[in-house]
Amino acid sequence: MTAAAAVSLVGITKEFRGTPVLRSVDFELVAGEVHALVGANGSGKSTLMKIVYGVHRPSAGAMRVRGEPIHLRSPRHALRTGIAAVPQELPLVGTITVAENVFFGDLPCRRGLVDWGTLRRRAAEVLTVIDPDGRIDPDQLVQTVDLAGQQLVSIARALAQGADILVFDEPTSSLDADAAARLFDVIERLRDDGRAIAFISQRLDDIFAIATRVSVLRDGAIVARLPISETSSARIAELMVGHAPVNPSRRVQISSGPEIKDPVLAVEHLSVGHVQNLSFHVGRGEVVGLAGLPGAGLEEVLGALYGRRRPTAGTVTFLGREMTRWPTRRRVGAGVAYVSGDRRGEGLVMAQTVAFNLAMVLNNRPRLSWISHRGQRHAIDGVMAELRVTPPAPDAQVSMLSGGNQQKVVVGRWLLADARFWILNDPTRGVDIHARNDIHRLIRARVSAQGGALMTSSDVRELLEVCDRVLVLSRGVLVAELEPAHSSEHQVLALAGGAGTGSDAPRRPMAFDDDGSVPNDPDKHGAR
Amino acid sequence: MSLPFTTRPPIETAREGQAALPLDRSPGRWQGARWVHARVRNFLGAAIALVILVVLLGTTESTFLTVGNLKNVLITNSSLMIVSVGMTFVLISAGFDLSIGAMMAVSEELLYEFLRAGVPAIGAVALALVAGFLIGALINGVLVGVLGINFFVATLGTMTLLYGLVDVITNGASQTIQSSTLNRIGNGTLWGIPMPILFMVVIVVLGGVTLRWTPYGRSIYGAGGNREAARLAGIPVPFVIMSVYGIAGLCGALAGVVNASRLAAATPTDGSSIALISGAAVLLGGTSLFGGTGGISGTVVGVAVIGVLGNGVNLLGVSNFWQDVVTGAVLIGAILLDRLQRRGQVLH
Repeated sequence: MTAAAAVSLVGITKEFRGTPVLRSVDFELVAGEVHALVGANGSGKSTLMKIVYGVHRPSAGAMRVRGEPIHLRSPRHALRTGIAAVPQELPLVGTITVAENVFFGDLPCRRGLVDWGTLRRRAAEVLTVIDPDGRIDPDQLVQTVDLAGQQLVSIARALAQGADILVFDEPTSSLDADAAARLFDVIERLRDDGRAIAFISQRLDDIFAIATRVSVLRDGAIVARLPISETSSARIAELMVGHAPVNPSRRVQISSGPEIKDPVLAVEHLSVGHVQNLSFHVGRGEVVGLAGLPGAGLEEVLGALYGRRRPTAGTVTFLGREMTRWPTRRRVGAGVAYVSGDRRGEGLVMAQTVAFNLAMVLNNRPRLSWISHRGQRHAIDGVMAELRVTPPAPDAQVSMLSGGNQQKVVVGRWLLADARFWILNDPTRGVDIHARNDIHRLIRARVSAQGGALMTSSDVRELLEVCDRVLVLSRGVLVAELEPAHSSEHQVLALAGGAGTGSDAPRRPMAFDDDGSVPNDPDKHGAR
Repeated sequence: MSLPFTTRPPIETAREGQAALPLDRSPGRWQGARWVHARVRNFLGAAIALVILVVLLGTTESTFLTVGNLKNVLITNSSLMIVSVGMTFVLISAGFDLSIGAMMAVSEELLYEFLRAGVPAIGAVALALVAGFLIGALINGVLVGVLGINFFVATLGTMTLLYGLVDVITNGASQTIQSSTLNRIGNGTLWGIPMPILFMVVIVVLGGVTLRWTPYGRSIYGAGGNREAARLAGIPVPFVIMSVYGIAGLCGALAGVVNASRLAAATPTDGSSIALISGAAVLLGGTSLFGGTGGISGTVVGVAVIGVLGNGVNLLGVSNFWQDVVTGAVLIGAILLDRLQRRGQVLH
């Protein structure tokens, strides 16, 4: 540990409600390096970084910034000390200009009034550093700048605030390859300027593209710290899981597959968002999994299937009828179901009863006729029994139910509507194991009886347990089709993380740390 | 009004790959027509409507473009303009103040009571203004900014409560105010300019400068545009929201003082429809209902449209009720125009 360390953490321990997440971690970040932090899901790397930028306070241990001991109280305090997290702790105001955002909260003034000339000039100076191509106009409203550009504006803001220690937490997850490359150029320039940069990413290729050093976290402790030149992705993966992968399974090819006769759903050459030319089929009675890191394009594909996003090319055929341009209503009428793990946002009317929520699809025609309550009640009672919703009270307000039971209600409404094809968007997110099993069992039963399903999950193991096949997307491209019986979680994650396909050296697992969406992620508990 | 009060810079679409050419970031681009357009585009619809109205009335009604008539338009709309300045602050903060009209009735009543209690006129006016600010900041401001109550519910409650209180005290009857000082405030002139117009101009300039050129004003845009971003930038958001409702209360109270002085009476029902009319004027002027954008120059144009409309309807001898019909139609038209202009932009 040198005196020059921009940030040094010694013996950092962090507990959430008595559960240790970090155990006596030492970490240092020196000026002029890009220090990558990797670790499996729940290894504590997000927690560690949140301590660095002031969101969490350590339970024990000492932190020094440029040699001075410090106790950070808040992200703002961290920013005043020169530490900025991009973009998490530097959100922008969309309705004002880029220039004003760069200095927002600390506008240059003359005699108490904002000095717009100086503001603009200084913003332009900062932008020259991070955006030499001049893609961003300082007079543009931030809401007219694309996402990659907004990230650059956040960086500009950090620099304008005098930050020389920058934490990048999954900065490439929503960027396409070009934008990611441009971001790396900026990060390199900042590094060469002598700034200290910490970098978390799930993408193996990102880390090898940009990092100078890598620290590996496992179970809340640092297990290795290596210059990037002295390691390989295989070595990092091994360090992360603590042993060589038990199942050096056969790599399953990206296959044209055995031709499925009579598919329920056929997707041909679909392009939507940054997903390009995707083709796959879902056969009768089949549950197909769709795996990928955030930003891989899963949301886009599901959106195209459910009619929320318009594909730019390709066709979607459902039971022999092309439905590419159908509105959502028509898809629902034809028997397409959408089950989202985001119960609050996309699923339930929380202020209403269980029965109301169950009958929502049945009653989706805005007719002014009487709803046959007695008839529906009968069906609702049947579905509630089948789903084992507890309490079995159709008139209870749905917000009173546990997450698992709420999710059963979301599934139940499609059972009532006799759905044939199920779009399952992380359908058991945050659901307890019993409810999870019930949901799996029901979906299985319905699918094998009459339809098909396409499923995503924030937990890759769930896909491997439930699905007949798993398709892996990486940056909008279908990179592999796997048989769950012969595949491991590591393999899926490695492929999703961009470890390439079909090549010789079996590069293996990458972390799959989707902060916030993974059940029992200890990082979640401390989030504000 | 030629002062560049609005905050909108030119909007340029950010389609991918489009901005490949290096932009000229030199300060020279602040000059000229583009600079003007950048400031007007936000309320272009209202500005066009105003020009058409003025041309139409100017050519068909010989009395419209006379000094006497224009002065009359300005005086009758001075309280609407003052209220609308306060409303602009609130809308930029992503709120709305339904109780701003009730503040007028309250301040008129307070003015009457203070005068009756022997407080000198200037002191009574000052007390009424301070009371307006405090009621706004401590009731609406605390409910919305500190306790996070929905602004509609909070200010609806405050409005009902204030009108109720005024009725309780006055039994619903107007009170005559006799004060030579107030008479001068309402009907006198300074340098040949009627006092209500002066009050209006002072408030417009103060409000415009505050919003456009002070860090405090800019923090309102932040708090309205993205509350979390503002908080993380170190802006005391609850305090800003409180102050914004305080300013609205102050403007309401001042409008009440102007009206009471002009009519020499405290009217318990005064301002009962002004909140929605001034909201319409502010929206016409390009300030967004969702906060974070807009400005006083737009509001000036918005109020001018509504004021000229009312005057025109009067001059043409049409029923006053038509004014509302036309105002509503113009409002919807202006918002549609705004929508069309923005279509195709990449918005996140």
